[in-house]
Amino acid sequence: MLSLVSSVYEIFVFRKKAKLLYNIDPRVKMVQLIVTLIAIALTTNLILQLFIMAYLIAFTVIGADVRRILRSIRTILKMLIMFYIIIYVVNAFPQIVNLNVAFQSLIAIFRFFMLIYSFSLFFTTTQLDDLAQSLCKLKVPYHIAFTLTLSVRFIPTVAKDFLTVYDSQRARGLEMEKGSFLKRVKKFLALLIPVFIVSFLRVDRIAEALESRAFGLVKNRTFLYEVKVGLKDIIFLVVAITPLLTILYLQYYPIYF
Amino acid sequence: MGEAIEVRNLWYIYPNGVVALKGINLEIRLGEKVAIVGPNGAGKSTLIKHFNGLLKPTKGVVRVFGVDTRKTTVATLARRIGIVFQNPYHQFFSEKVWDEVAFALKNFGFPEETIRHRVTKVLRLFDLYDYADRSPFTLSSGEMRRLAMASILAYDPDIIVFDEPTVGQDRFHKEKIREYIKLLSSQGKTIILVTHDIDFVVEEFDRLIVMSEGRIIADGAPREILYNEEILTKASLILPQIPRLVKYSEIPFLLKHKPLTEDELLIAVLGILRGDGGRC
Repeated sequence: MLSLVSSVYEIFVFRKKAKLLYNIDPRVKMVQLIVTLIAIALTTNLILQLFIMAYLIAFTVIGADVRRILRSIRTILKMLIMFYIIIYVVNAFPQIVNLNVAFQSLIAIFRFFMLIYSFSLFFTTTQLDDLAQSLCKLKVPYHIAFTLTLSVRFIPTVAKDFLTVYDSQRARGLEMEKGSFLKRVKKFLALLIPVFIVSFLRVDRIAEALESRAFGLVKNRTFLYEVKVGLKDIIFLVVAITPLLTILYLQYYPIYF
Repeated sequence: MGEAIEVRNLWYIYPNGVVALKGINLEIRLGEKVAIVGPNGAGKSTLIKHFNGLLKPTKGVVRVFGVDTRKTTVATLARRIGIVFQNPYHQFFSEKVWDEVAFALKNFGFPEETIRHRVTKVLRLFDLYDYADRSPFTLSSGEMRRLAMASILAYDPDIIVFDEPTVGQDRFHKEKIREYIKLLSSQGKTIILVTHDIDFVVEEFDRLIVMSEGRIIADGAPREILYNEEILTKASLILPQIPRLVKYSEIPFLLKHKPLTEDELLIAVLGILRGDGGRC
C-alpha cells in the first residue's frame, strides 16, 4: 500500500529536466497521448503491442527522466503481476495450465500497463500550469481548466498526507499487517478518516484563498509566459505519431503479423 | 544515566534520490532534554522518524535502548518512544476525544481498567476532561495540539519526541507546553524537541543539536552554541533576543558570561552596576 502511494506521488509530481519531452507544447503531447491510447485500445496483436511498448520506452529514453518513470511504475508493475495471476486463476479454473487463457490475460494486463505508462510519461513531463494554459487555448473555460489541473496537482499532496497519517498512526502502535480481514478494514479507517478531513479542510482553504484573490472575475485571462506551438513541436508530432499510425495500419491491414 | 538512543554513521536516502541524512553520529542518554534545531530541509524530521523505526537507515545503525531499529517493528519501538507530530489533523479519526486518547493504549493491548485510568488522568492533566465526549475536530487548535500530546503521553513512553510543538501557539500555550515538558522531565523522561523556536529552547534544554543539510554541525550546551554566530548563520537561525542584545551592547563582561535568559541578564547587569561581577 505504502509503495503504491509513493508510486502515485511520483507519477503526478512535475520536476523540470532539460530533456526533450519537457520542452514540447502540452497540446502536442496531448495529441500524442490520445493517439497512443487509441493504438493501445485497438491493437489486439501482442507483437504490435510490444512495438507500442518499445515506442514508449524509446520516448522515455530520449525525452524523459528514466529513473523517475521506473520509480513511478515499479510498484504498479508488481501489482499488475498480482492481478495477472488472479485473472489467470479465475479464468483458467478448474484447469491449472491453460495457455490460451494465459496469453489472453497477458494481453489484457499488458494493455493496462501501457495505459498507466503513457499517463505517467505525460504527467511527469508536463507542467500543470502549461497544461491549464493549453486547455484554455483549446477554448476550455479557464475555471474548468484550472479545476482540472488543480485536481491533478493535489493527487501527490493527498498521497503525501496519506503517508504522514500512516506514519503518525504507526507511531501510536497501529499495525496494519496484523489481524483478520475485518480488523484490517477497521484499522484502515484510522488512515482514511484523517486523510479525508485534511483534504476537505484544504479544499475549503483553497476555495477561500481563490475567492479572496478574485478568482474568475476576468473572463479572458492572460498568461505571463505563453505556450506556443513552434516548428520543433510540429516536427515532434509528426515523428511521434507516425509509428503509432503505422501500428494501427498494421493492425487492420497485416503484412507480416 | 544509561543510553536511550545511539546513532552511528546514519545515512538516509529517500526513494526519490534525495540524501536527507549524511553520516549522523549521536547519543542521547536517558532523562536528557535535547533540542534539535535547524532550517527547513536540514533532516530533523527524517532523523526523528528513525528513532521509532518509521524510517530504516540506508546505511548505519540506530539503536533504541540497545535494540537495532532495523530488527524490530515500529509498534514495539513505539511502546517506548512516542512522537507527537506537528499537525494533529494527521492523526485524529475517532468520534470522541476519549477514544482518540485510548487508541494507542488499545493498540498496545492495555487492560480496560488501565485504559480508563490512564485516559482520565491524562485528559485531566491537559485540561481536556470536560471535552471527553466531544469530537476532536470541534476543538480549537491549541486544544487539538494538547490532545495530540495527551494521546501519546497516555501510554507513558520513556522517550517523548515533540515535532514543532510551538508552531501557531500563543505565549500562554507556549508556557503550558514548557510546563508539560518540565513535568515530564521531572518524571525522568527523555525529551527530544524538534523546533525552529530558539527562544523556546534556551531556558529548558541542557543540550542543543544544530543540523544543516543532513549533518550535525553543532552539539553542545545552548550557551556555547547560541553565542556562536558562525554556527547560527550556517544553520539559518536567528540569534535569540538576549544574546542579540548582549552582542549589540558590546559590553565585554556580558559577552564573557553569555547570559541566555532575562533573569541571567538582569543578574549580570546588576552585578556590573554593583561592581561585584555578578554571576550568570
